[in-house]
Amino acid sequence: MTELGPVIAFWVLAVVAVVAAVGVVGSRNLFHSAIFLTVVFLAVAGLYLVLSSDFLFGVQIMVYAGAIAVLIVFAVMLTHNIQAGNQEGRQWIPALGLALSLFVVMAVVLAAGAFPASSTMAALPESNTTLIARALFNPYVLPFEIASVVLLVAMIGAIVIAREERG
Amino acid sequence: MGDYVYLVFFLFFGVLFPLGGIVTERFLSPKKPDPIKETTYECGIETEGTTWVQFHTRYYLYALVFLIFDVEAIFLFPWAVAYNQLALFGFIEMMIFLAILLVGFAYAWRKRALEWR
Repeated sequence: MTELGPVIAFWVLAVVAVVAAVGVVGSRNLFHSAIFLTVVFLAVAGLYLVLSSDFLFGVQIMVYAGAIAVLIVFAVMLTHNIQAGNQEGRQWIPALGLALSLFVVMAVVLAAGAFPASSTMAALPESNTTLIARALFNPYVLPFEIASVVLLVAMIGAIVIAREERG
Repeated sequence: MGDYVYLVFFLFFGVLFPLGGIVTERFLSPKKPDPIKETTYECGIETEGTTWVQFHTRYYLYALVFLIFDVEAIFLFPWAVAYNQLALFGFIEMMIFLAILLVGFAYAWRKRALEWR
């Protein structure tokens, strides 16, 4: 039971993620693509949960399925002449080449690579999130505080770029 | 792992519930379409123009600011979960973190980025 549950969950989520990803690329309607992309984000969040990484699950749901999906839907809505749908073009040829080469590289790396962590992390003594908090607030204080400065810069940059000048 | 069984349970019924409604309606409802029934309406008022219009760029700023606040909120989660273990040092750290980000919030407020114009 303890072994079978995660395996079933993995395969269900993996199939959902891949089918939705094909939907993102294949859909003629950009809005449908954006919705398929949200499904991919949610399925990947589920995969993080299967790996018992509950913090990453929360981040994936909040930031990707929440904010990034909203950002993409907004970007689609702001597009000029949206009802024309995806335009025909020749760009799928280089895109296919790029995607295939990326697939080959990843497949080779995954097949050849060793995963020593997978055998040692079988039983974590405590919650993942607590461990992250202790790492974040003790040895990694400086990166954590610098992250706030980076976010500040991102925010000011976003406002400066996206704000219209007042007339 | 036991807690996640509930999550799967809720997810399953959360999907089943709306799907069940749509499928049952397919089989049970009588179908007698006529031109008046098939007109598009919104709250009883006839629609004007097409649905596929280009939205104002102004919305995008809200999406961007929302994304940044969202990432900030993410950092609060591990802090809140491990609050009891972090003692005073963790509290001060988070206050510094929030103070730096408050500058961004003040900037957004000052530049009227949060206002609808």
